[in-house]
Amino acid sequence: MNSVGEACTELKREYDQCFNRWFAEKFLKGESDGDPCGQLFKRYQLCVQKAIKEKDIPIEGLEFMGPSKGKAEDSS
Amino acid sequence: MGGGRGLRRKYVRARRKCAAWEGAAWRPPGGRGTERARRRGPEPEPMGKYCASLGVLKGPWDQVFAAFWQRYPNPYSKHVLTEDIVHREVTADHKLLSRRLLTKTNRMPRWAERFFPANVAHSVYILEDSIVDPKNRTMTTFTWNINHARLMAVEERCVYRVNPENSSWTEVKREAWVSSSLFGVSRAVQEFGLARFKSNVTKSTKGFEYVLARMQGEAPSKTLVETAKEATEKAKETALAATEKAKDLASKAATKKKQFV
Repeated sequence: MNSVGEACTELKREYDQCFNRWFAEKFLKGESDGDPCGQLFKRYQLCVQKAIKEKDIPIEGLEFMGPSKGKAEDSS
Repeated sequence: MGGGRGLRRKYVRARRKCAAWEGAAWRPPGGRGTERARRRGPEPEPMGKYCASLGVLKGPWDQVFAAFWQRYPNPYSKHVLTEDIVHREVTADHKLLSRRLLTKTNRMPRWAERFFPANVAHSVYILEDSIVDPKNRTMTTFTWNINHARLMAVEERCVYRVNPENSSWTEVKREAWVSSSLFGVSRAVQEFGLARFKSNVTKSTKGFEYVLARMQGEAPSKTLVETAKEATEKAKETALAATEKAKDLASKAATKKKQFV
């Protein structure tokens, strides 16, 4: 899948591969040690955040799960 | 002769219900709806559509959660142009928070393209926030478009959890809200039209009275002329009040967030 920043697609793929492995083998099993994908993520983010700014995509200042606040939440 | 049906169905929708979503009742506090949710109007009016559905994905929760991150591309996602993670963190209580940015094509019917030519050229930007909680085996997602939102705003909230009847399956509860600020515009047009009609009726009646009085031999007295002046003034006031109310309705209907297009 392409990144919104054309130059970032390869960095995204490398990060995704690392993440998917970590997610299934570590995170879902409750293991939280380490951040094996941290470097890859940083590199990818540098690229993609720049592309987002260049394209004027308005993702700034939006609260996490923001518009959903107040919608009835199942207890988690 | 036809062979097998291809993929065995991995998703079954148990039930779905859609309805008009009335007035302030559905709108959550926070975001666009804060003041509206607190203020009760004289009568609820339909503000949009609400849909809820419950379905089952035939896979265990951990597989479903992993698949969630590997969804794109797939044969059914040709309209999804790009996918990016723009935020991710693991919380102290071992939950994964992520924000995914998607761009999708903006396919509209031909009539909509004619009405909203400015929107045609722009893809839709969509944010999907999610919380994965492996301890409780649940995932909650909230997805909404961050442009074209004045024209149409679609919000979807999904909750994934282990199917209570079959622990090797995953239940998906999905809710969606579809709204448009065009509702507010059409209400404003109606209010204005009604107010202007009423003031025209006043003028029409007064005019009739004036001419009748003249036919009946009464000289158009000062009183009548003054009454005519008063009627014009009153009509102007009514129309002005209606215009203000209409402007107010229309601007309330527009979203308060910074919007594209």
